[in-house]
Amino acid sequence: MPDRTALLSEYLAGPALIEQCVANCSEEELEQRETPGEWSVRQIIHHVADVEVGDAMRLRLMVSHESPLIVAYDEELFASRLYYDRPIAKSLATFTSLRASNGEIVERLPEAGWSRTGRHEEHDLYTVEILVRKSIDHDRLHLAQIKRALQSGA
Amino acid sequence: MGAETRSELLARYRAAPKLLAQSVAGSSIAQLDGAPPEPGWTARQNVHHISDIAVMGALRLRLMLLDIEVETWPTDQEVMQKRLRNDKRPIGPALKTVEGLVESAVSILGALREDEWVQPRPMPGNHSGSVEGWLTANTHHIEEHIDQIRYALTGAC
Repeated sequence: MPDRTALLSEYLAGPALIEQCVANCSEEELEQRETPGEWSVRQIIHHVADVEVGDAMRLRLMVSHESPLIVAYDEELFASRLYYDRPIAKSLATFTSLRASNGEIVERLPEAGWSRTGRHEEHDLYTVEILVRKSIDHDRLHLAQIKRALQSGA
Repeated sequence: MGAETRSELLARYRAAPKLLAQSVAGSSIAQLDGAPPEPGWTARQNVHHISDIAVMGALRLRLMLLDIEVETWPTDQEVMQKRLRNDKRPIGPALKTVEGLVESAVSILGALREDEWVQPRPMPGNHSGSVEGWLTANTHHIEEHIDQIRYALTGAC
């Protein structure tokens, strides 16, 4: 059986790690990206917030309804059309508060709750546990990307 | 909707999380879980419901602005209340969630061009709606449930 306490702990810790990483960034640093064409630090912050909004909805639907349809979204479309040049403070607050709320729902699930499913357009199997694991991986991926962008100075 | 009306509505929407927090401030656990004078949700359940619908509204706003049509989400509110344990969970994270989502939405709305407010957008069931309509519905929803919270707390001991 997976160590769900450890999983939940890492799931809940993700936003703080990202927030700490950008806490003292200047406006210029927020525009840095790992390589030309990649997302800037600012865009990554808006991206993780928007993904958390989608995950919050997915989680609530999977927990409360029987195998709901889980729609996949085009993240590049989000980035190009949702004004990712905005200040990051509101998106950081959204990311942090939603993750706490999502974690709170997961924390109270009975054992079987982790196995509740959704019909994901791009995955054969999609469960609450998979959502949590993917969120942790997503946090790690973008935290590392932010660090590389800030180091690159590009 | 004129610019002044929209501006007033936006101010009401932005003020709603603070009014929500004030409506339950200082309430005891017994008060939060007290039954309203007539059958209905407790103050705690109303707070979580506002938060759940704010999540849905936040996603809906983003999809509207991307002109993405999604099917109607299955949202049986009574089932959500029960399965999400809205009668048990603390309200702090839900209040923060509403605040974060409203501020985030205000940030996006503040970037919109004039035409983007009224442009018809795809909605479930071959309907269309506008961002103005979204703002109206989401503001009214929070305000209506703040009223329900106040009512529920009048019956709570």
